[in-house]
Amino acid sequence: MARSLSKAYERVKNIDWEPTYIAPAEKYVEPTRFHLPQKAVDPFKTFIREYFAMEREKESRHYAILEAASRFQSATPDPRWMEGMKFALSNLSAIEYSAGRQMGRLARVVAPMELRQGYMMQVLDEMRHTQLEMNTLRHHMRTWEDPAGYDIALQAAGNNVGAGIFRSMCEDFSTCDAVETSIGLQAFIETAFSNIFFVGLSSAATLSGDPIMASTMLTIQSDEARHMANGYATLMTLLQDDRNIPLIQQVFDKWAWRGHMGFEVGLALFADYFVRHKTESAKEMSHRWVLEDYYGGFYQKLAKYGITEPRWLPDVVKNLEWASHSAALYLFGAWPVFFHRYDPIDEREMEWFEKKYPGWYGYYGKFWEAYKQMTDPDAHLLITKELGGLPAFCQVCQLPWIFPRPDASTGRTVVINGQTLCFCSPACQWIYEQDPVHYSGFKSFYDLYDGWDLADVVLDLGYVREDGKTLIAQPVLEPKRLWTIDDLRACRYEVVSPLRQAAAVQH
Amino acid sequence: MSNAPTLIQARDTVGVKLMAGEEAEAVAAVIARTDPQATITRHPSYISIERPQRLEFSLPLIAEELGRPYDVPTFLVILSSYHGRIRVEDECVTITTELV
Repeated sequence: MARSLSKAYERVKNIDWEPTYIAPAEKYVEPTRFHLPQKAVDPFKTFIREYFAMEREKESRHYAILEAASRFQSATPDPRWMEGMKFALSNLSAIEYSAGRQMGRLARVVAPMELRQGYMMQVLDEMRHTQLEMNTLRHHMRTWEDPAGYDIALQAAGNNVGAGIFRSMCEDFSTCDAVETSIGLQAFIETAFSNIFFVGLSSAATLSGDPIMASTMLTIQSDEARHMANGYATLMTLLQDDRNIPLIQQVFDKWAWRGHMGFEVGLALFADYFVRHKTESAKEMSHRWVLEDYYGGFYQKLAKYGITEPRWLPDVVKNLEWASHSAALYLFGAWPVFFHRYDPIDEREMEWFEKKYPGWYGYYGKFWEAYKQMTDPDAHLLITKELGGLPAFCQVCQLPWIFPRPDASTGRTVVINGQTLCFCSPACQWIYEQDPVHYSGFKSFYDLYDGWDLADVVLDLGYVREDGKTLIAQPVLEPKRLWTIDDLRACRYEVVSPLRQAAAVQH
Repeated sequence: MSNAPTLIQARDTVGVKLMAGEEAEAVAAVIARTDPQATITRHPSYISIERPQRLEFSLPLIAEELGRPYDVPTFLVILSSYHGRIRVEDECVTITTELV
């Protein structure tokens, strides 16, 4: 190589200036509770010329695959995977876009030049990821046998009840202290959890006959590698000042749980219930990628700075035992309010679950037996109704009150300022109490639809096909005929807020 | 640090995940030849390379294996993920366990 990266980097990082068109006092910089040293280190030493060359190369390689897939239809991909991708890609593209917005905030708040440069590249990365995912959506919409659901995936990211989990998380890191965002998003979510999905499940994508998604995942993760370094560089910069230690600990305590509920639970659901070629269970993946690699290989080394185990980690470990299965009860149990076809698990998978999660059948077997009996639209039986209706949702993470298991839920209701709030766990209640204003305004599914017939909810969400009456969601991959709004209405299910119902009983 | 029992077990393994393909195979071949302590595992879409303490990727050796010039930014294109602390230098990418 003719030019030395290290020498060039030393020169370039000293180029910095203050704008002259605005007085320093007029420049809006969000306040932060953290203390920011001026000196920082970027272990990636990336600068603009190399950055663009690298990203251009990534794009050329990826879009060549997309082009090839558009030209040559290969074997039919696995329908379960392709239907699950409607929900996955919908949420992912929204999360990436939100992450991009955060990096702009960070570049404004965090002063050291080297860190700012990394954040600005991350803004571009996140926009690239959003586009990669949108292009995958578009490709799948054009080639998959049932495009319904892919066509409204971006709209659905804004209005579906399950997306509330990811929206609430993104809104949390959009509105908290910008430095907290760096630790929560970069040092936690991107470093601890993103590997499970983008690397671990890329092999599942290949085996499911979806090379576009496999390539999307791996090219995204190659940017995440730099984002992990951004988070690490910010964290190491902050650790230079002892006054930051308790503040960092508080962020770790919060995001170890928040990231687990807001991201890892969704990944676990996907790994266990949308991958037909099963090898490792979601629990095994979390133990290997998160508990061993992240906590054991990185977090533990922060002990020398006085950072201790995250406060709610024992609860995370307990939750990992059953999280994917409880999340599946919710997603499958509430199927009409989503926008993909479902593929219920078969006998062989039940055996696999029992082997990987001993005791599984005792807790979840009954649900699956009931589910299978309620897929015929002519029977007018809706699993959502027969199970006693939708559960209450946590005011912080927006997951239903059924974790770790419905029969052993850690959920609770608390009356705060005359308002009854539901929390899924002591951890989410603790997070709420740290900063109540932050979470009190989130409008849940019940704020919008309490008292509505479920058929009207689905119409309002827009989750019907072109004829205006056939549902996009179907409880099996190949129903003998597709469910319609009329079938749903014949089930006579009114959405009832469990909190309102409980209050009515008390009076 | 408190002496309370901990769920976290210290781990001193570092590793990378490389997008499967010609370049990843060349990297794996160099590592297999030069680093007996490394473990190389092939997955359907990626190659995983792990080693206790420290992994070093020498760009000149990879270029020689490929039979064409190869630099750090091109290596980063196939580096999907890593665990450990990364250091990028002119002709070498290193992953170590210690905080740097």
